[in-house]
Amino acid sequence: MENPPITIASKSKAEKRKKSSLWGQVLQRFLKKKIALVGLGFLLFIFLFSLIGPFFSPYATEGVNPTQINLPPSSEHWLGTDKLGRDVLTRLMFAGRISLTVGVGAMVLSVTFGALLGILAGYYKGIIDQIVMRIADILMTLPSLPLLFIMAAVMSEWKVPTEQRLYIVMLMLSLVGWPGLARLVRSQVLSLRERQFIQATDALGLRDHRKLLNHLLPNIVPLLIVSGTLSIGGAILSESVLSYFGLGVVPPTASWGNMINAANSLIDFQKRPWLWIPPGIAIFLTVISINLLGDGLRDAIDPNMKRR
Amino acid sequence: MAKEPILQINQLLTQFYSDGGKVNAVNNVSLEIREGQTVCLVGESGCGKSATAMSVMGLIDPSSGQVSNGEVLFEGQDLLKMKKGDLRRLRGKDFAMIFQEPMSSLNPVLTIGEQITESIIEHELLSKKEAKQRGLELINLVGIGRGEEIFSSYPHQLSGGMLQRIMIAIAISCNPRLLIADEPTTALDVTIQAQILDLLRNLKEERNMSMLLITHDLGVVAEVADYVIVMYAGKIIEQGPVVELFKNPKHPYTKGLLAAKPVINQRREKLYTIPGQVPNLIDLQPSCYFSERCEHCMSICTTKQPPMKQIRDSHDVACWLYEEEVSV
Ligand SMILES: Nc1ncnc2c1ncn2[C@@H]1O[C@H](COP(=O)(O)OP(=O)(O)O)[C@@H](O)[C@H]1O
Ligand SMILES: [Mg+2]
Repeated sequence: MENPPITIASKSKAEKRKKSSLWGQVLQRFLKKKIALVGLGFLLFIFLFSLIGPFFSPYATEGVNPTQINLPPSSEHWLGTDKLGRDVLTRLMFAGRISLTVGVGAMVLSVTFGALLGILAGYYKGIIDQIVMRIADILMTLPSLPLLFIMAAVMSEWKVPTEQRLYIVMLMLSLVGWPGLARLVRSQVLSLRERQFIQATDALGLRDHRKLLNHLLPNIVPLLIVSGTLSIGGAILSESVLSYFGLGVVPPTASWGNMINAANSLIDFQKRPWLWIPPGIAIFLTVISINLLGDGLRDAIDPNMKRR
Repeated sequence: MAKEPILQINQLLTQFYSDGGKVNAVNNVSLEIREGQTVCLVGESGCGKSATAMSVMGLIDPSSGQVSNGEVLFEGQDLLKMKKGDLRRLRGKDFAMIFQEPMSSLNPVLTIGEQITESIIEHELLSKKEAKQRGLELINLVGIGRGEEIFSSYPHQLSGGMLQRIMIAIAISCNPRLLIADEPTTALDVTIQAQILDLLRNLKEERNMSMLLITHDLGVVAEVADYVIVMYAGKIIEQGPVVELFKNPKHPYTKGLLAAKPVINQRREKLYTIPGQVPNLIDLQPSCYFSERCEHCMSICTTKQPPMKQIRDSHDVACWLYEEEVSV
């Protein structure tokens, strides 16, 4: 070969180190978003609180104690006890495990369905697109809460064991969650497939699964991260609403939603605020934090990405 | 030179759908490329060069157009009639393509290494490790040093010239017998253009490939072509061996192109330009499509399409000026 080897111009060296990884840049931008960091910090706290907290608690979650019913907060029971004499703080931790699990699980499922169906619809267009998007449209035109109520009522009819309701709730939430995501993914794939590097993969004779998984998927990961994060908040809220009405996760399994259910009784509502205020605050702060984190991630990952 | 054509295109008709009807972007084009030959396809932008290449590759997007007629014989097999899977196995392996814009032809979120090894893994069923070895050799082969570093970098970290070298490396990674290069140097700096052309020419020699090089730059043609095909408004209007065509152009359009080419040491007051514009491909009447811009335009030119006529050995032209039957 006559061509002398060419090396990277030295001027770009410093520049290069900075740019060296796409995710490094994202991290730098993210670290500048103070509010998002606060959200992240609080989420970490909630995670640790729920996951590790119970190990430091002297009370068992099902620790029914008939002699300690409905006690107000004290040095022994920081958030008091409920009508069965269970420690509210400990229950709040276990409930956090459930609520966070449902939120994250529903997100993982809806991101999986949404990304898969969105990619297929956007890439193949035609009949596949028609079928997927019409189903998505139908699910999106039905108001999601009544839909969830109906499904939950059916689930109650079927007498699903208490421990498994959690997983059914996840599935239900992802069923109403995937259409929005599939739409976003599809529209992004529609524009990506017109880009030359996707056409170039055709010229290389790559098989479809390589094109979809190796080329399209990595390009929508930012979208999935942002939408996925934001959807956890929605899922936690919906789960809380369902559980509040006794249709989601039901006692004795604790969730933040069914703990607030205490507020349903007038006397608890007026006289025993320690029963329902803590889970309410937990839900509120968790959802707010998730949204702040999601917004921050969106700005950091793609400063130009449109707001939903 | 009795070598078999590696690619033979017969009466190719490629149409795009548009509001005003179907546009014949490639109109009855026939050409052949022999083993080891470099054929240059030249013409103004919009004359259907890319559409020809895309038709050969089978990359015309069915939602915007179609190949309506013709044959594309690659080593005797008609690519247009082939099953999708069979075509896919040939593409990228036996014939490959380089695009005009190296910056947009690589996936921005994948490393160079991932993209260079991909078609090797796909077509030659090598392991990741073996493919990486081959990838590093290729990076070296296309004249970039520090293979390991390049291998793990992302497209935005490299310059346009380097990216085009990478594109070439990817295209030749499975030792194709035919390389189609669609304006491979148009998006690059002039100094880089020459290097890339050299690289292509050397690789072609070393690996005994045939090449279809698309360009609108006659300087490029003069440097690398064995055989030149001039297109205008979707049709071939003249074709011939490069020396013959440059010395002895027949078609007024070819003459115009050659006259419009700047020549060093012969500075003129004003560069020659061909007057007028490429006609709108939608409402073309049977005529010589160049007639409106032609200074030798005769009455027959506006009413009848000139047939392809052999002037000399493998030098053909489609122009009424060279038809004896026509009495002027
Ligand atoms: N995807 C497309 N949809 C509609 N028309 C197209 C498309 N691609 C090319 N064309 C038309 O086909 C003709 C030839 O285009 P092209 O082959 O790209 O020209 P060249 O590569 O010679 O510059 C042009 O008139 C162009 O407008
Ligand atoms: Mg072109």
